[in-house]
Amino acid sequence: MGALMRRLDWSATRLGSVETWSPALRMMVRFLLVNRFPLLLWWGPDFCQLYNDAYRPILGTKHPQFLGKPVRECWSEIWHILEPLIRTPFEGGPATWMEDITLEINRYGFTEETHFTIAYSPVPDETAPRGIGGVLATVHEISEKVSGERRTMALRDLGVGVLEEQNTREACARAAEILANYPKDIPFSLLYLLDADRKAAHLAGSSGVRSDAAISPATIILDPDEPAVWPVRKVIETGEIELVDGLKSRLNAVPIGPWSDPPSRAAVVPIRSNTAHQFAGFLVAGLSPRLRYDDSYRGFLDLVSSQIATAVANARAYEQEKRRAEALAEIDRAKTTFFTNISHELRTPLTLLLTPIEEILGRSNANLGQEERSQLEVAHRNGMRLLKLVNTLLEFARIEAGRVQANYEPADLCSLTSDLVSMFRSVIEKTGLYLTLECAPLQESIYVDRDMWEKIVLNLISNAFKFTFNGGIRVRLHDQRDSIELAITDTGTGISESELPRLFERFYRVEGASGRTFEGSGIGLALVQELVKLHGGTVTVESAIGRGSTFRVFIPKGKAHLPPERIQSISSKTPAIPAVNSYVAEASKWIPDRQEATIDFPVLEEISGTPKSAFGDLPDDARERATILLADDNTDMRDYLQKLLETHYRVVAVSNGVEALEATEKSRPDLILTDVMMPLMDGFGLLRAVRDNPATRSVPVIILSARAGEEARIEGGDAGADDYVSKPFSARELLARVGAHLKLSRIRRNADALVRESEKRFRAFVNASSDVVYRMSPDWTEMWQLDGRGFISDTAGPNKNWIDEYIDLEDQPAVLRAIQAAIQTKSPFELEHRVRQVDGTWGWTLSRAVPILDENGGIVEWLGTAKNVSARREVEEARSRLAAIVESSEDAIVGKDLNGIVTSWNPQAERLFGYKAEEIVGRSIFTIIPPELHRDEDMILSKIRNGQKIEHFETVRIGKSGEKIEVSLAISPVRDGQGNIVGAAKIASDIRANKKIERALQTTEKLAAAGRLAATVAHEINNPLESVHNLVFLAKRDASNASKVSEYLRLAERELERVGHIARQTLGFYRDTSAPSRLSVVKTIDDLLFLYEKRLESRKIRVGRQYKANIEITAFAGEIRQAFSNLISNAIDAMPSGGALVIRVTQGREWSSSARPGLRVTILDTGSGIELQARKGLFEPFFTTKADVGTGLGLWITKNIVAKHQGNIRFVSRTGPRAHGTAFSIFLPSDTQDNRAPQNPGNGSAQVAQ
Amino acid sequence: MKIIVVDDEPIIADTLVDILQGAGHEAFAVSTGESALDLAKLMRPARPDLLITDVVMPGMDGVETAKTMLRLVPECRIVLFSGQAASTDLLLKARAEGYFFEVLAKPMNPDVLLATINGKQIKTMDL
Repeated sequence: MGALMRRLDWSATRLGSVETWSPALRMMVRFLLVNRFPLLLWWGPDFCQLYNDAYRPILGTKHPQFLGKPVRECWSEIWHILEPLIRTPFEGGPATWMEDITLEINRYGFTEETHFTIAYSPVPDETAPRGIGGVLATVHEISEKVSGERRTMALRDLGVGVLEEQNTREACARAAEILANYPKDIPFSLLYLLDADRKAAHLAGSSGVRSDAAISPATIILDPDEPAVWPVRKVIETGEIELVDGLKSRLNAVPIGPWSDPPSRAAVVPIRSNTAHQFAGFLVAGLSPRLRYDDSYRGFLDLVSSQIATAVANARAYEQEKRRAEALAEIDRAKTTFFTNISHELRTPLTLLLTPIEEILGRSNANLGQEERSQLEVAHRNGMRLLKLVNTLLEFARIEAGRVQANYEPADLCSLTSDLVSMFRSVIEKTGLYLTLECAPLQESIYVDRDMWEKIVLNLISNAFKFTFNGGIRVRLHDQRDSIELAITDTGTGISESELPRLFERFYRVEGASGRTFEGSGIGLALVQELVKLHGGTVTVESAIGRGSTFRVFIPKGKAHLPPERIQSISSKTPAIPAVNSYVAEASKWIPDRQEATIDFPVLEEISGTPKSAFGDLPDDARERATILLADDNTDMRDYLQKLLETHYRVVAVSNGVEALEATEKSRPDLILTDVMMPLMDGFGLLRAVRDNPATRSVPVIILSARAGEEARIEGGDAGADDYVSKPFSARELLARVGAHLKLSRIRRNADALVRESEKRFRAFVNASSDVVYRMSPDWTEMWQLDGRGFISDTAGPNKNWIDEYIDLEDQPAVLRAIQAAIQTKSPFELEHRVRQVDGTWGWTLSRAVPILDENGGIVEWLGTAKNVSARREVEEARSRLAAIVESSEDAIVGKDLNGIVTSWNPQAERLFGYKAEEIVGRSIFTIIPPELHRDEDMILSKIRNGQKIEHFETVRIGKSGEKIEVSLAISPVRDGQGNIVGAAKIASDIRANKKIERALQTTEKLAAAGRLAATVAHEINNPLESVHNLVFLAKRDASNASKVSEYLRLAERELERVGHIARQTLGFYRDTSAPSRLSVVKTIDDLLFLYEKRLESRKIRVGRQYKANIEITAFAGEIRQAFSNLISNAIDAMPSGGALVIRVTQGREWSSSARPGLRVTILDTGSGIELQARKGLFEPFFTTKADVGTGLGLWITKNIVAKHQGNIRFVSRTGPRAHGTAFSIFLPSDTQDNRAPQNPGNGSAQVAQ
Repeated sequence: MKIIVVDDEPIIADTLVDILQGAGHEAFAVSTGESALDLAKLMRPARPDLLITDVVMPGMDGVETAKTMLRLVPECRIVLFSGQAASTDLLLKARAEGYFFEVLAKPMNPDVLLATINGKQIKTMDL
């Protein structure tokens, strides 16, 4: 600038040539040029301007053309504002001072929004007419600070305002509303969200623009052929901000912002989603015509977009959660629908079965033997049971679907109930149980649906009967003022407390309950509850294991609670006997003496779950359709069997195993009946061949043989025969067995088909879900299948190792606990836990699984889904961490920009330093730094600019009242959206109290170190002393032998010299070195090695000395010795079974930017190395990896000593199997800064490099 | 009495042997635990009656030497002598394994040593 001013031809300006300048002007110009604050001098009546280097940036492109020119030419656009401000001091008025004056200036070719703090003061000049030569302007541009604060506010508003929205569109609309408050930064905004198929984007929020304007279409199609208003496709492809220029010409109606001219540019900013490389949408932000589009503007837009992205992601997660809950409800509905459909299918064939049986049984003249009659009765009873189950399911489904049409009518509940109870009486009393009914006639009629009431009572009584073996059942009906209570108490097995809450759930069955039967659908009590609900009542249960249960039903009196259109005024009195019959019939079957009759018919039990075709083979016409392959080499036998079977089936007869196999593959028989002994291929060979072929594997095979006895039977069973019939056999027996196997086989086939069908449906459902789906064995030891959906890796077949593959060792106990709990209660498993992702990193998943139960309530398998919630967890964790820090921290948190200007100041900072936020924000951080430590700040800022963090930086700050505050600083760079460093966040903790403790600790460790050293020294001294003792003893003993004595004395003298040498070495440790002196580091280390020589030797540790430099440093000798002593001693402890200790001393420069020259000492051992988790706290007090030696203070002391000498220490450690060991590296400056003595602890730093 | 003296400093071992021989014992000086054991094996069938050993030595330490010696010659008496606190760890370890050795502290008066090995057991040094 000085050169520029010298070059300028001043005679051409109104100031005239330099020689003509007044002394005042010259003095001012000199003052101006050397000043580093932006200064401006307006001289003379025309206010010709002179300025310094610091002012140049404010001028922009107006420099240098306006040097020496009148200010009204330079700042013509704001002259109307400036003129009065300049003239007032120039004409003898007071100096001008204005904080945050907003000026629209044009220095870069466009009108710009700027903010300044200015002070204009008069400059006296005796040669000037009025004694004032000009005006000196001190100018501080605060545009960045003003816009920065405004943007911070905008981001904060966004953060607070939109994060909790539960709907993506609402989140966007709200974000746009907030942006509308900041038109100076975002004159208009458009928020678009992408479709799920990413083919179109929809407007979800806007500000500063009418929603129907041309620039804000409701939908943007992402078709390459479709001309789009905004370069959306490019933004989505590159993920970068796109600028759109020339808005005025491109778009017919550009919205008007807060300034006189509308924005001409806009930025299209991508909004990221939780999925990498996929965008949730984009933000079109108008750019202020008054602001430069620079890094900070760009960073602001990025931050706005990421705030919106977070809000959108949160809302999306919420929406997904909602959808998932709906999907689960849908599964429940699907289950009911499935049962309903199945039940319906069953009812028709059941009715067709039961009607003819009833007809036969009812015919009084039927010509039935006792046996036939009892068999028909069994069939009828089981049919009735099935029908009842089916009806219950249908009933339930109807209630569920809201299709049930209750007819409430006034009933004498007492007599209705006692009728129902009495029907059970004979069955119950037959088993030796009592059944009592307590029912005082009620004062009024109770409105109930008779059918429903019957079902309530019958279900509860039959349930009580089912689980009661001793004692009996008590039924009571009470008037309870507003309601009627029906209490059914049994003395049965009872229900455990843990089961009670789930008792009324659909399909829930009490595990392990011993009842009269295992039959049950788990639906009876659920139905009772639904029915009671339909009456506006409630049902409760109390129970104790081994003592019995009481079920209570409360039905409100009157009819006010019932829908009027369903109320009948007159009692119909229609008895509903069939329903009662089915309950009683079923219950009677549970009684042991009747059970024998059912044993012969296990088949019927299995039929209950199969569709009607399973029953189809019972009539003769159906039997004839079955094909039986008969293989026997004996012609007579073959003919006999053929004739026997032909009356019922189609028979293909062959004479050996080979023919039989061919026929099997050709005609696919429904059953194979084969002899064992046959030529070419015997019966067992045939059986194996049939089983080996998947197509014929399921064909039932019955083996016929003359070889009776257990052995052959087992042989038959082993080879996989379905049955074994030994000759001779009765025709009836054979036919019965053939018939039974045919029937079984059909049932099996149909069941298979059903399973396949249901599996197909399940697959379809699974494929439709985007979550991970998995199947587990009943006890979870084996994973059967897992479909990872790109989130976690797949498992295709049984995998017993799944827990180690997917779940971190640390999380396994929690997962296993949740699994055990789920298995024990047969309830759904649900847990949020970490899971190994496809790329090997850990993510979070919300895993849910439901047990699939078989008809006995046993777990068949678990079906589960796992949702990727990593992104949500991250957001949650980050947020809670931040919140926790700010809320709970006792620390002062201060933000500053890269120029050291304080930008934020929390209440704790106010408390610690005494300055209020409004006093200090905008001021330099130097306000609280003692003058002698200002250089620290340069170091801090240079590290921050390099992106480094500073941790545990202990230093001193000055509070408002002037007191020194010892603080520990943690300083991290603050980055904008691009990753550019824009400032620093600093956490300061008050460590005045800690420091006191620390000093005490240092003393303790010094004593301990002295003690350790003394122990080492003692050994070194004790050994020579031992020798001397012995030698003296010998000299005394052999006193007469002069030559011997003289030899003993010579040796004793040598030993004593050793003692003396050691004593001299040691003295250094105890000398009080209160002042620093020049010392040789190499010599210090050599002395130490001499002292440790014995220990090194006994450990078989080789010592390598690599001294490449021998520089003297100014230091406290004792402390430096202690520092190295600690490190060498640690190295020895690290190598209990030998190794190498290498000490290298080199000349070097400090690692940090200051690059001071000095000495680097590296102490390297080949020990096992320091475990990763131990590295962090290595320099902390009381930290030790050695179990029984050491105070845990050594390294901390060493660090402090090094820091005191303005050096630093760091270390590298490896724990590999081959490469292992630790190297400590200490840098000591050869000359401490400013020739000051080593400072108080706290000015150096310890770093960890790994 | 047959005595083996182990010390990695030859001058200590040698002078001790000289003193012990002067007192009428049959004493041998070795400088490592390993050679003490080798020597004991060579002395079969006449076994050493006493082992006097330093504790902290390169290679096999005194405690380990003593333990091995006891396996080799169960009736051998052991006296450890040490001038170093670091041997405490070794002794504690031995004690945890059930070995209670007599311990003398360096420097020791030869008269005391002679009295000790000739007469009563010495008191185990307080650790």
